[in-house]
Amino acid sequence: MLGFVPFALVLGAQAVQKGLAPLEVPLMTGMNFGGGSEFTAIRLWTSPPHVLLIVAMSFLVNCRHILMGAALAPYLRHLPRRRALPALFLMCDESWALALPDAQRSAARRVSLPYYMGVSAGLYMAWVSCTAAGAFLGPRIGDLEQYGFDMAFTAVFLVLLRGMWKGIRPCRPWLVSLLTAALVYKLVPGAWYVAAGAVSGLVCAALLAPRS
Amino acid sequence: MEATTLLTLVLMACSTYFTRVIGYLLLRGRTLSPRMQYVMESLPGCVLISVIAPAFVSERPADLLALVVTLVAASRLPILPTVLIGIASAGALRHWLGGWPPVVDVWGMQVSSSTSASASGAASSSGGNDIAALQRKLKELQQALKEVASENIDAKAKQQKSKLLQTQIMMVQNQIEALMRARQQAQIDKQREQQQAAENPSQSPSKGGKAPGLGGVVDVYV
Repeated sequence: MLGFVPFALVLGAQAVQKGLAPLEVPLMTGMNFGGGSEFTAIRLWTSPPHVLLIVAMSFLVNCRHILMGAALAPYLRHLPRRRALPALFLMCDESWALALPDAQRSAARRVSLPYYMGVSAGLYMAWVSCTAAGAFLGPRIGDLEQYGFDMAFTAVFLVLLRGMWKGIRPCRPWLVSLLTAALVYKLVPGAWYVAAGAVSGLVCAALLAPRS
Repeated sequence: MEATTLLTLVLMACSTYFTRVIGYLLLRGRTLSPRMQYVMESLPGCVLISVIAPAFVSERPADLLALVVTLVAASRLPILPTVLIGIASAGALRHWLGGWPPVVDVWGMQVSSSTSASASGAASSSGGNDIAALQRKLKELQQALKEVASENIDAKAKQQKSKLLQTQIMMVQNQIEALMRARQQAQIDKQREQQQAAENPSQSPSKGGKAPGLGGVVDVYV
């Protein structure tokens, strides 16, 4: 959970420098609760913001949640929808990565709601409060990038990727995504590189997938 | 708060929540083909790596080196040490390699430049170049100040940015003045030495001729 802290401070500070009011930062992180999409939104933020662009990119960055939700679904069968749907609001990479192996290990093969909610609520509160702290402290600290705090973002993503790593062969689509995204980032202004990287990876995965 | 800001935040939150529940609602109780499963397993990594792709093609050598360090850390350490190593390596490398190429902060202005290093090291020998570089920087800053008004940021940010730019302009002007004065002083010193040498040809040439303690003064400004 401590990996969140520098991440959240940077997000809060950058959001304020992009022109968001300090109170809008916890509003965003509290309603959205998805670091990747929030960083993307802040990078794309203008005044007034491009609503559709930001919403589309949020969806794209968060489309992994679809897979995560689908993967978690078999272990949520014991819960009625009225409890599962609010619980899913708190599903993020970290809480999912902790809850899924826990459910797979458990005898009943189901997600333990107290465990899941405990982890998620802790992450949620840490995230919202630390992004708020970043928003209020950021202008006082000055240029965080100079101190290397922005590298926290890359570091967190790299660790998340390591968790998904299954060897060179299964992860070839990542390489395609990386190369495409890097190229598009250099050549095309805006956040199209995320879309281009994701789509090229998707195509590559579909082509490389086992046929049977 | 502006209506568009609120609208963006709310719609963004809706789209994110949609991704969280759609998989649970639609794909529940279905068995996926191995092909579909492989695609679905690869996609999150593809999106994550695309988001950080810009870091891999950074133009700053310090950032690329820090990325390599962070990559190695991420491959064998838990999240917290990786984050700390990432921050520390990026901070340290930017500090050490700071002068080149210039670090551009979020306002789009230089926060570190090579002028301080060269001013302290070679003030007396290449004073002219320094002054030219500073005058270039002064022009850049003045241009940036003009452009603030047309930028896409709110009034408060504009005000802060202009204030910051005005301060920088003042500092650079002071620097130029200090360098000019030092150069004049150095010339006077040199002339005096030559005169002395002419008057007392037996004496060994003086060790002077260097601008007195200039670097220390100038360094403070940048």
